[in-house]
Amino acid sequence: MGEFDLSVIAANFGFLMRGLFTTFQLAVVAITGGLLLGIVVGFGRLSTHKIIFYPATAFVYFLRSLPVILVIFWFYFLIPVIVGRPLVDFLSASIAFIVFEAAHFAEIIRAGIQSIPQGQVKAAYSTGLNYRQAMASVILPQAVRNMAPSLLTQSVVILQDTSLAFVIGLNEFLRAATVVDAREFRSLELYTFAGIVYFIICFSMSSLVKRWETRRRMNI
Amino acid sequence: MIEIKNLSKWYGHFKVLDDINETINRNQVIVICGPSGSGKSTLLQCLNGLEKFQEGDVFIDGVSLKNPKTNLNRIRQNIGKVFQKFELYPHLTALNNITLAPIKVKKQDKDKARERAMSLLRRVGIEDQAHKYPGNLSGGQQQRVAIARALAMDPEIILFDEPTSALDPEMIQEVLDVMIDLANSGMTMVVVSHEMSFAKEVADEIIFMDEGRIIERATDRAFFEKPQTERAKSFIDKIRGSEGRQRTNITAS
Repeated sequence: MGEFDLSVIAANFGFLMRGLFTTFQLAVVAITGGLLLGIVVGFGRLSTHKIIFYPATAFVYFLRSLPVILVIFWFYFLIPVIVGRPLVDFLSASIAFIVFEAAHFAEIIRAGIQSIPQGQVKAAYSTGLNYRQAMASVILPQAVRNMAPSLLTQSVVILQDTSLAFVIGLNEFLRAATVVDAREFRSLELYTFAGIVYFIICFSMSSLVKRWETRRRMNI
Repeated sequence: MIEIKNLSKWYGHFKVLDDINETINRNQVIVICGPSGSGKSTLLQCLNGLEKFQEGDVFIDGVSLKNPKTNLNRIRQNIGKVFQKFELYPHLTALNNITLAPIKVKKQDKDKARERAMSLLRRVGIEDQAHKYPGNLSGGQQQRVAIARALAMDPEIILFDEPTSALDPEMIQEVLDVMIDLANSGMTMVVVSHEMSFAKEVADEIIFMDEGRIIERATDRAFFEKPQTERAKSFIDKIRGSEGRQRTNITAS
């Protein structure tokens, strides 16, 4: 080992970047799918119908009580039992993340909608708007502004969490680094590099969120 | 026009409305007053179906609000409401606050709705504020936009829930002027308010409520001069005192 030798990164740059690309792919799928499913579950949590409210609530409470790594493993072993054949690791990880993140997104969406004061809802109904119109024109435009920072922060967390998919052998960024390390024995350089890349991406995303939030607060 | 029959309502074990009976005719202005917690606002909320009630019924032009088949959205289009805290939509300009329901509910043409909104803003005297957001308007201006928003649906009835009690004293009159103008134009109004000047000028009937019941009814200003019940008398003395204090404050500043 000895000195800090960065040539290992240059030599394996293509391989590492393919890993990073997989990381982005998984993050995008997890965020999009998780958000879509989360919207459905979030509205379910607000439903006055018990048949909708209880399953949605159970889903959220159950998944929010589990570590994400367990959910990744669990789907990896469960889905082959259900469909009768093993899935590619990317698909398995995608499903696990979508389901897991949906529970987290659902709570952000529920809280965002509930943050709108009752008076606004009553004002909307008082002018003859029905539930859908009140939701679309009065509640959601305000709620989305309230929940946007949390949704973006959660998305940054998801990007970091995708590294856990390496446990099922998915060749994402962190695993790409470990694979190179197993061949080249350059742990310090590789993990430092991986750390810097994660930091740059996540820090710039969080800074954007923060700047956006301050601007928004000043506008109100 | 509005018929309230044996209306009672409970929050858990607490009876907020106790056997209310009242008939409000077209073009009438009814002022409801009473100490806080007496059920005035709750009564108002029952009149457009925003609050459910357990006993009795409310009929709007003969249509029962209790009947599950009644289309409450349809009924509400005909009953405007003005809130204590304005409840303008903060993400929309004054103009868009007013045009939202006509465009969404009545499917009015956008240009026509805007034109109508501008003429309503002119009527309440704040045409020049049309493109401002509620956050940039004073309380009095916000409440006038809220009145214009209610008027935009061409309702036959408007309910006012303490429309001036969240306002700074110097802004009360500008809102009252709009309301007096409305009353004189023949609008049917149910107003929860302690503004004696307003009640004296335009009320056809003054109702005094306490502990969920109608304690006293008066058809004219006699209520404020010679209340029949002890409770009403002590209530009037109290609001007289506070109005006097507010006036002194204005002169002092």
